[in-house]
Amino acid sequence: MNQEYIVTTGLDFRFSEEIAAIPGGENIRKCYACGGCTIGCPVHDIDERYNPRKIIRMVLLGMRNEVLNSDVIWLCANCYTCFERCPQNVQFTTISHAIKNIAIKEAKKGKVKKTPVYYFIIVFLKSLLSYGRPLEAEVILKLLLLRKDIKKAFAYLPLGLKMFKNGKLLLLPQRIKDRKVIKQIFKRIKINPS
Amino acid sequence: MNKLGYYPGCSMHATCKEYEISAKKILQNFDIELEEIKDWNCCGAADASAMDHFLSVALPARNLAIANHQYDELIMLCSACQQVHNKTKQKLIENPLLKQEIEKSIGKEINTDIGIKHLLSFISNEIETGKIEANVKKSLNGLKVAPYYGCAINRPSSYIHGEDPEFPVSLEKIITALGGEALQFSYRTKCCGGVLLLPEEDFALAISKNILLEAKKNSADCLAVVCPLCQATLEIFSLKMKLEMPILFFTQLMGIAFGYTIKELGLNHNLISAEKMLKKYGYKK
Repeated sequence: MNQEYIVTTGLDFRFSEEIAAIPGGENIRKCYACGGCTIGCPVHDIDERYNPRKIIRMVLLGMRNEVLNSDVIWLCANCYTCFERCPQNVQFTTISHAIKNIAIKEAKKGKVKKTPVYYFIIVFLKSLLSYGRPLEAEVILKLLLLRKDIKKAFAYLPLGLKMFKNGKLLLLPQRIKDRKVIKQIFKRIKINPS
Repeated sequence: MNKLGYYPGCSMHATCKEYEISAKKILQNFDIELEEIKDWNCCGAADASAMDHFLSVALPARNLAIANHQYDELIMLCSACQQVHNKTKQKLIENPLLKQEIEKSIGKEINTDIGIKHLLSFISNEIETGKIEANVKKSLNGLKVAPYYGCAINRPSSYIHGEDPEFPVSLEKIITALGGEALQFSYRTKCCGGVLLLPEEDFALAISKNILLEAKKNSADCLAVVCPLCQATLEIFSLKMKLEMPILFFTQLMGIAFGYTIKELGLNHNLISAEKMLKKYGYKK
């Protein structure tokens, strides 16, 4: 992301079309780069590497590889501040969804790095698919296992125990009856947590 | 008893059960009962959207189909669930072909006329401030409350049609009606970073930290919140930062002023106890 020059031989000029073809990404070409999205962004507030205006520019320029392999595209907090304030109705929040739609597909094929947010999305949806409602304890546990970070796992322990003691953690899933229909809805996407 | 259709969302039965407990309690004062729709599923939150557009619309659409024609509107306590269902409704209205496809996939007809409302909007629209005041048995007695709306309750306004997303006032009105002091809180519509709580904890902490420190700077006794994800995130970090500032649902504050007990409002489930703060203001169990 910090390259001084844009290497044009690596550009994919159809990337913005690819984004615009996904519902929610349609308005990307309307951006006139005012940066309003970025000024109000809570993630940009704490880490300047996350810059919605730059991400939009990179998509429009066709920097597909750089965008999809960037760590920061996963960091959107989904707060819709940019979406609300954009004078051009570019709707960056849903553009960010569209970018992730593609990044997840590429990550599954091993073409893009799998990030913590990637793992979270997969584990969360897998749990939703199994029961109709995700089981938080299972999601947290699987996430810790996938991260292979034992130190972090132990750091979570006291909080987990406190939450359990206060009746905030369920150990058994809330299974819905009609799980068949959830499977039906998920049918068009293949999902596995690896 | 006036029955309202109710979609709880996953956290109401687990991580934030005190929200549902206190909401049901205070609604009794207004002769309102929440009736849970049957066999509802998770709305998919932001994660379904990140995965696939069809998935993100079809999951909540099934809930709308379940509520079909039985209710004029669905009440939700979770800001994010409310946002996702309002978004879905809008997408289904805009795109009849998508609606058809989803109806085929779930085997049910979807009614897009149904209203989807957050409990705070319902209370501020349907229950007059005077009625709230009339129910106060024990005034909050100048308790300094930082009103915190977070993001998903009114944003984006093109889906939700609620209060002005930049200048909401309903929480302040309620806090004042309860006898509390609603602090001017510049972070009230800023995001808490809750979506990142599990996968990117450090980012979530950095975002939440600013909100909590600002509340502390304004000498807030507690934060009043309207969303389970905000509550969980801010409470966990308030605990970790050793600020020990209670993060209470607005329904719990209403219940305290209406004279209910700690247990009746689920205050025993909160990770940070509100008892010390309440004692300071002369509240007895």
